[in-house]
Amino acid sequence: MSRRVSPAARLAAAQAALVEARTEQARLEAALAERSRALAVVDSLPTFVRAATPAQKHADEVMGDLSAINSQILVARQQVFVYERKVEEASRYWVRTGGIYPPLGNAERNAAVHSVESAPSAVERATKWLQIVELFVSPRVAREEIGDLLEIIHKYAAEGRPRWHVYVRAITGAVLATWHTWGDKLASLKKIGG
Amino acid sequence: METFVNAKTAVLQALIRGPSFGLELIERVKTSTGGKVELNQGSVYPALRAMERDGLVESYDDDEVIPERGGRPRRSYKITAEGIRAARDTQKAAFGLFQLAEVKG
Repeated sequence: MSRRVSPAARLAAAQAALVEARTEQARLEAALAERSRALAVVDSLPTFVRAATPAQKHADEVMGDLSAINSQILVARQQVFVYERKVEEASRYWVRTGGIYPPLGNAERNAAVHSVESAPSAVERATKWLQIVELFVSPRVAREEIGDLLEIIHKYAAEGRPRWHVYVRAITGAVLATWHTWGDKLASLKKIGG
Repeated sequence: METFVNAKTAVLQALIRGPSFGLELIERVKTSTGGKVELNQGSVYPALRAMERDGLVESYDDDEVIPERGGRPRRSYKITAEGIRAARDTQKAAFGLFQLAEVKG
């Protein structure tokens, strides 16, 4: 059975793996520097001293270590690269779900914020639509019912209700307003007819 | 929710407490009946206009400016003397009906 991982958990796991890979890389690079310093000390010794002491043997061992460490560092760097991409990928998904996006560049982040802020809100869309509906209803219904409807829609938005609540309310209100206009016309005709 | 009173009766009773407009009347009826009677816009506005035609209520535009309404004034309603008489008659009739139910029960 596959286990679903939330975007936040995936991002946290990738970030933890990246930290671990970076720590390993740093440890190996410190070891390489230390071995290089040891080798430099051996290299500075006169040849006869190196021949008379175990220094040369030690230097050969250090050279072997350096080679192995260099290979490990390459692997560690690859790991860091892979996890950096994973963090980036996880973060991209995470920002689409409305969360925080730590590695996002300022320009990209500003563009995303701008596109969200400049999009017309549900209230603005519903208001425009009701202004069109207003052309087909009587002036009294427009002032009274459409006005009340706009108050309700603003209240919904202030309460943080989902967009579809606003749209459904606007549509049903508009249908009722049209219906009531015809009802009023019919009632006035009946009154005239006596 | 199905209610045991019609919109006209409920709104007329609510207007005895003072002038009001559509949305507030819906809320007033709901609050005063403890949520037992919930009116909707579909029934309140036709009821108000029908009662206005019958001379039970009068309507006027409020001076208060509400930005959300985009310049549309609120339409308020107040009960007329005839409306008060009609409301009292309804109250008496309902009271008689409930007394009868109490005796029989």
